Amino acid sequence: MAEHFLVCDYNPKILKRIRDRSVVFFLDSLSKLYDLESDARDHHIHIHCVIYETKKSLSDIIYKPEWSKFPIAIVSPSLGRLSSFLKMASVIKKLNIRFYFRTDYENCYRDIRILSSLGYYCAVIINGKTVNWEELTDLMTYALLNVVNHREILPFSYVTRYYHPQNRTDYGAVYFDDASRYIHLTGEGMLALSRKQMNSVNGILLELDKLDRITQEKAYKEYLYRWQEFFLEPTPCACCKGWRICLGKYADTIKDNPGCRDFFSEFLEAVDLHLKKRENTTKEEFIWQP
Amino acid sequence: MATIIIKVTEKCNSNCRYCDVVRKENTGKTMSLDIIRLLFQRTNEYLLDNPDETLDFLWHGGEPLLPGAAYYKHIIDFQKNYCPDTGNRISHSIQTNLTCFTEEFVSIFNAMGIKSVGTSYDPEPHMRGPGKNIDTLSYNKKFIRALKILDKYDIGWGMIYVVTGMSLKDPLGVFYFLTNFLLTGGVNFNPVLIYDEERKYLSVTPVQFVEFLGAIFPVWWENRNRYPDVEPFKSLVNNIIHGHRSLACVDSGSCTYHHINISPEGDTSQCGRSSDWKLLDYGNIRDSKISEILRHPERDQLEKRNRILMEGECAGCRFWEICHGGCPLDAWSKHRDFNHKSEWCYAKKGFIEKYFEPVTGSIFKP
Ligand code: SF4
Ligand code: SF4
Ligand code: SF4
Repeated sequence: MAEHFLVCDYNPKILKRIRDRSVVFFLDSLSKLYDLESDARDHHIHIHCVIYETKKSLSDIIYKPEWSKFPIAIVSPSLGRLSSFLKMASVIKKLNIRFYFRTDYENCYRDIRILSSLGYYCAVIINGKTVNWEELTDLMTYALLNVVNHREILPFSYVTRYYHPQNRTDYGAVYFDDASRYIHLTGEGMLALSRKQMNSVNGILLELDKLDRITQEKAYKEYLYRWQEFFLEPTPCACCKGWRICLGKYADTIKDNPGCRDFFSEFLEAVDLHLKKRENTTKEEFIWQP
Repeated sequence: MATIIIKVTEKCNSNCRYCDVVRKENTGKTMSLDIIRLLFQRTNEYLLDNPDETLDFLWHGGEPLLPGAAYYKHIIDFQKNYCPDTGNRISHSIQTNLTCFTEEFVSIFNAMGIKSVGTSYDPEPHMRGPGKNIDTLSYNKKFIRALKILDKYDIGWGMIYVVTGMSLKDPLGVFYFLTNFLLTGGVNFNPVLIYDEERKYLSVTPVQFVEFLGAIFPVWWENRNRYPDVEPFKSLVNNIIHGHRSLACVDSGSCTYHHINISPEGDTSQCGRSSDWKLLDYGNIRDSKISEILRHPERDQLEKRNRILMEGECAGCRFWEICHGGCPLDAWSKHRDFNHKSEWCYAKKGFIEKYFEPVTGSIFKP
């Protein structure tokens, strides 16, 4: 198995303990990119990606050409003023950047569509509580089946890339939340298998020195089989057509915000259709991939 | 190839609602190692006399893993010691509920050449499980624990899903449950066979069974690349569309001289149900050779049945070639006579005519 990526906040204190690793760093300011770069060089750390979560709209960020050496994910509430954003297009186009929008913001579907059609890589972070499943269905259909040129939108294109009809497809990696590829590291140097575990009081945490043998850890093995828990009873997720690509990610919010079943059923059909359609077309140009 | 169904034990650690094993009067016997030793001696003799033949041993129960790993180690030794030159013509398979499967059995399965196990599962609460209250949750947890071991050692599994009255409320829910659990399918839908009034609510009629399959079939057909191994659909496609004849015993019309069931006491019969019903008694393995059991004159009535049906109740049926009147025991359960077509006739004919042919656009031509 390929080595795991670590996911952690940029914290100079922890860097010496993660020498020679590939790491996804959370940054609270992109101005820290330069410090991170020199720290990473000093500790032989490979920066897999930098995540910058901001309350600013994309159009309020000042993009710098020097960022082009970093794979960047920006999580922002909205596109903002399109005209301001487009003024910086010549810089942004040269960056290795992907824009993430949360479904907590009702205009995210529209903003993603605009950006993707303008040639920017985008991703939608689906929050089961806030997502508008119908809007998401439209966006997914646009992403996978629309013939008009646009850039890939995650997690939809991620699923089409890894999907096998007779397998489960987990798109958690789009959000760096898939323990088969990403392991989370706390500021105290403890490992967690998911963000949820890291943030929960009773989350399973392991010592950092376990990282190289993490696949042998009982907790890790159990985590990879946690999907089986759905099948102890006829849960709505176990009986759901789209389970093999959803894996029950929205089980906790089905009651308050139903619609996931219809969405994932459509998604599964669209993936099959998309793959059939893509068989004879050329590959898209790729930037960094989760 | 003949199949020998070895009912190693009548004991079961589960109390599945639709099962007859735990409801039988004389339950609890386990086959002695002496009988198993004799079985291998007889097997060797049979295979030496018939150099082109092979035998498939199906380890069955009750729950066949209950006698424990040590018991199966003896079985492996018996095969080594008593079939030194014929052991390579014996294959093994097992039908287990997996709830007492442990890592200890892995090397045993390897030695027996078992690469995939047959099992059963049911999403419906209180359908499968131990105890008076049928504790599904504890059963399912053990089952899932066993799957992890199977996965770790790359041993495959497939399941029989018994369609009961409870399954009828949401056929597609059942289908998605099973194919999410075992992604390629690996599911065989069989109708429940209930013969008492007390559990009538669990039974399904042939018409209900057809409607159950019919609710699933269009979805399966449309997406069969997702779930290729779903029976009886896959076999029907092979037989009807691709013209590859491969039939289960109940459809083949040729089980007559190819099946032996051995009870824990060594009594032989055609298969599990005929043994339970004290029909088709072919004698005890202590007194008879395998060749004698396979040629027992009692069997001839099953062979005659084929002719009687072809000229009688099934005359002119275009599905004869892929049905042969169905299982003789299904005829007996209704008529107390083998010489009738199966009471599940409509389940075959009705499903093909009402769903299979219209959905696939392929018409079966004999
Ligand atoms: S779509 Fe909804 S019901 Fe289906 S698996 Fe996902 S969370 Fe469960
Ligand atoms: S009697 Fe019926 S169940 Fe038994 S082997 Fe023959 S066809 Fe199969
Ligand atoms: S479908 Fe019915 S009539 Fe035709 S062969 Fe089978 S049992 Fe006989």
